[in-house]
Amino acid sequence: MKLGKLLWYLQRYSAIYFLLFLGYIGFIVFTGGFSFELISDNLKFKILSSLFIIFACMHAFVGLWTIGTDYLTKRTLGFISSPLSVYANFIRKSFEFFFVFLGFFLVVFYLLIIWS
Amino acid sequence: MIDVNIYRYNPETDKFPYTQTYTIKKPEKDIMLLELLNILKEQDSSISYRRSCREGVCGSDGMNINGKNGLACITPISQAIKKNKIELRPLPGLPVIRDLVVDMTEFYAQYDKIKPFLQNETQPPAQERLQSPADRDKLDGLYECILCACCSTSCPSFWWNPDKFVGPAALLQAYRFIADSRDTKTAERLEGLSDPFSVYRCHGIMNCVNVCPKDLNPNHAIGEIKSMLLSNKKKENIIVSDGLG
Repeated sequence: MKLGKLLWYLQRYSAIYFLLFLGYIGFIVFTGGFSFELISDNLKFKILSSLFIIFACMHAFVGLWTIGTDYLTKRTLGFISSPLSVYANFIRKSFEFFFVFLGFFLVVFYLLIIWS
Repeated sequence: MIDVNIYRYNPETDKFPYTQTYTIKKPEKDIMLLELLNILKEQDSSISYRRSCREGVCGSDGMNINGKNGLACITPISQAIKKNKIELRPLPGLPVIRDLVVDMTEFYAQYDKIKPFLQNETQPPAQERLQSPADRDKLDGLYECILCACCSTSCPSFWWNPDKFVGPAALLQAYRFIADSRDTKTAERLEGLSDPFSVYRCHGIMNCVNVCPKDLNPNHAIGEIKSMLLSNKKKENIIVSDGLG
């Protein structure tokens, strides 16, 4: 699959999943079933919430990568300051690395908590 | 009297661009903005702008009129005046050569990228490649583009990535050849647009539709290209659209 198509589908399908997961959580909360036992023992909840955190990080990364390649480029930073635009690639890569690291950290941290 | 505020910049003499205000008696007739500029140019011959056909066909005099891109030659001053003022600025996002004249190299580079010519490797017939009236109708709303750049220069995605995002004008023309029953390079054309930037950077803001002086709908064409890229929609399944904004 082409990268453009892959990213487009990833954004849309993950957003649909968020909506469905939100509905699932809303249903549990309104029916009074939300509890520590649900989070720690319910296999279905563990799988669905693990998928949620993974999709959320992927969805966020695509969005942030789009923002970075729009606003953190030599051209756009040059509107603010010419000397700053020299470091545009470094700034954008740092921005992307930070969010990749943060996303990876969040996923690992969440999976360790929920599955250990 | 009306105030005409014009963006001025001469790289040979000015360090920074500035706005110059010309106060002029309001013409009795509702003339076009280009005529008003011609009158002002008689007062100050240093004002620079492009123009040619003066009837909305050549696309030379695209400019930003009171914050909205348009063609000066087909914009009546009654439509342009806001509180007795007219603000004229160059098309946004492109480098300014002088006053209202912009460097359109990046715009034409994107147009060049989509190979804006019919490609068909089959043996040409004796006279011409024929097309059914139904297939010809599919090109309505596409071929009329005059490449004035009003749409592409009103698009934020094109402002940020003019070297990567093809832009609404060139994408409208890309679709014009994708939809053409005589063109046989549909797969190659779509392949050339399949990266994350060329088409997918269109977020459907629809500034292009809002400003097109020919009332075309580049957003519809981009949507059709996306459909073909995402769902493998076949060329034969393209339906006739009014193509208008």
